[in-house]
Amino acid sequence: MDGLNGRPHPLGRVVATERRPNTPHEFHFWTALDAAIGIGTIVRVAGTHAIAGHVPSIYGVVVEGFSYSDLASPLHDVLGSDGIPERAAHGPTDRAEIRLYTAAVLRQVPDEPLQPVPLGEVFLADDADIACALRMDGYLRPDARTAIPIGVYHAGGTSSPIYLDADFLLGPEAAHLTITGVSGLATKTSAVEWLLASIFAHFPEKKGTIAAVCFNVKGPDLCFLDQPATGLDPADLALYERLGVPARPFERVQYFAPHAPDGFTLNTLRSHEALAHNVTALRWGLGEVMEFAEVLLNKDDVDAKADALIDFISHEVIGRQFTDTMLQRPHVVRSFADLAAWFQDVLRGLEQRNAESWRTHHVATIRKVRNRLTNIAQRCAGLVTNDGVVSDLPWGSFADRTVYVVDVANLEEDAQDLVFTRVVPMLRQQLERRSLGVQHVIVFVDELNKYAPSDGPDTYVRKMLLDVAERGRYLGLVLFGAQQFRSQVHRRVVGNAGTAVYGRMDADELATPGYAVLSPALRTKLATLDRGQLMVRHPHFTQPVFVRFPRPPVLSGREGVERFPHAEVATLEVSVMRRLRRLDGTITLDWVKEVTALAEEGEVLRALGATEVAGATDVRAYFRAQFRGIVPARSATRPTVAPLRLASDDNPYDL
Amino acid sequence: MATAACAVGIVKSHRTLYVDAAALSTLARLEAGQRTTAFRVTSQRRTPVVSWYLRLREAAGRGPLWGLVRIEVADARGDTAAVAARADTVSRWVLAERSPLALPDGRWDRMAYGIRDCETFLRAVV
Repeated sequence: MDGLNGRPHPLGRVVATERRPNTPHEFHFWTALDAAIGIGTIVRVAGTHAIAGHVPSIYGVVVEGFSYSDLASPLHDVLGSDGIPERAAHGPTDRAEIRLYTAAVLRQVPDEPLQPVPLGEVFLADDADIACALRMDGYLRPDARTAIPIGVYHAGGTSSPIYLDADFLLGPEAAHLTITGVSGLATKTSAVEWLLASIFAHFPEKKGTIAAVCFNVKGPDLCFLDQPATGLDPADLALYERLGVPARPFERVQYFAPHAPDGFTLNTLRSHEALAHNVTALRWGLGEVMEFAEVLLNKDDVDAKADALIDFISHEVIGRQFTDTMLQRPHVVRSFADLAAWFQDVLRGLEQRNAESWRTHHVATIRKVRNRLTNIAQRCAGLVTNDGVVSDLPWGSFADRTVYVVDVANLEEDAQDLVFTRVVPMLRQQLERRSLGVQHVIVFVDELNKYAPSDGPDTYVRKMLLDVAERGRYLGLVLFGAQQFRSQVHRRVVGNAGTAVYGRMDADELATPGYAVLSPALRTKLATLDRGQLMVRHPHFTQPVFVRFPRPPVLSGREGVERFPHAEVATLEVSVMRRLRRLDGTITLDWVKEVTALAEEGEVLRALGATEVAGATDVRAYFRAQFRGIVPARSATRPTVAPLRLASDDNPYDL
Repeated sequence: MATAACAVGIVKSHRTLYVDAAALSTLARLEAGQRTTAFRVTSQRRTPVVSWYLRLREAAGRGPLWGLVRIEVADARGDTAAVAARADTVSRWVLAERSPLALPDGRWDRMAYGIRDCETFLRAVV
């Protein structure tokens, strides 16, 4: 607000007493009772004296507020009103009242010498002040812009966009983001969806390409990222406009979901036929699983001997011709079924020779490893198949600004672990080799409390998340994690996150030591944040900043399942038809029934998988060719053969 | 000032009591909200004013001067009825100033909060 001569009105004035002095990091100021200021407001203090030729400007954010009167005891007010509250309001003179605020220094300009904050006038920060206070001016320069909008800061009529630095959000300087908040307020997932949209819109071209891999771990949260949001209100649209992010759903989204144990129904809440076009089965065979088989094996159960055998199988048996004098035949193990046959042959050979070991591996170890490995397909039914038909993420051809959603919401815990532990290291490997197709990948994992807990056993998933948190930023692999209780997530995961975002917090969580650095007022504000408000900590911000973000531009999970209800469980033929129609729109149910009429269910699924993977131009011919040839029925004719001799009519024994 | 119609003086400290011996007991027995009759204070050293005592707070269990103030207004030279009406009006104004309480000031029983506020201001600026 401008005052006389275009000079802005001061909002308050810095005050210091012997008991409550100002420091270089904190200062106090009073304001009028009607000043538009509150916890989280950013202010500027105008210095009064030039120091080394510069009049300093000090920027601060309000972290605490006090209001008091000249009363020594509340009892005095009660006595003065005869204990009747209404009477207090009828006094002809208002009691003197003061608004006193404490602000934490965000920045002093110039930076040196760092002195206590002077007794100057306090102004509400404008756009330029906020950019300077939060050190955003460094990455908002047109020639070196790496700014990613995260929301809008509102205070006293000021509405300023707040930006994160892509170099510190997505590497290489710092990376990773954690978001904490109570469940049920649609803050965590919404904030990540919004932020992904913002990143895709503003990720600097010079930094290369970027994609996101999101693990949908519960419900339909991420199942409708390509569908427009319903009812974005004008305030939301204004925020999108202000922040330069299109209010549109993601243009390129690919869904991956394993099958249900039946082998042909996709195990996802995004099962509506209208949305099936970009849902791909996630189906792994022996080759994909074996490298990460240890995830599914009980660590206490698999000792060094078993480990040695697994290593032998991985390197000497799988994927190559294996011959041995003890075995009945050469084996080429490409699937779990092949592996079972190989084990059977080995154990048969040992029994025949009455031997106790083979190639230094004891028969008991061989039996144990056989049991553990061959039941993986049963334990992860739908994800891991016995046959060798594989359907996987598009390794090597990830596309820029594309979201890959891996839906593991309905998987058993073992299978979820396998998905995490294979997908993320694969991303890391391919980013290391620069062969993924994009240069940066954001991995979004919800429920970090569950997957990277601060206590409990050291799981492979936690190890993997720690690895990403500690080394990912050099590779362009960035972890966005969400959790309800930050205090219960492994401290190396949250500690390595350069950016921390908080929605409304649980009071119990705020009482944990990790939040002691926040003032009581900030903690209280965090416990009462509205939907759509966030507190942001970022390496450039010396103090947390409160922002408001718009509702995400995509259909929410709750609305999505109402508009696109879960498809009823289809028969095998219907499921085959639907999936083949994605390759060839002319496929009919009758044709599928005709082709599969005599085939076993396993054969049909194998044929379907092979057809999907092959991507043949003539889908009908390829699918039909996968079945055994059926010899057409012929009526048998009895050949007529002339007898060697004929018996006489009266004596049939005369031959 | 003493002749200004809009000025009201309040005396909180009673170095001189403007009562004779007979009226003293009446003054001591004044209850909260009661006033004495108005009288004229004249002296060669000052401008004559109309004055009266007013009990602001109940003094039961305390000294006779507890909550007792003396009010001075300009002497308008009116008839007795007009003076009494003026005294009633001003007394109501002063009684209204009992709230908010001027605590923690030690003279809070006689002190109007506005006066205390003014004193605080003057102390801060002088």
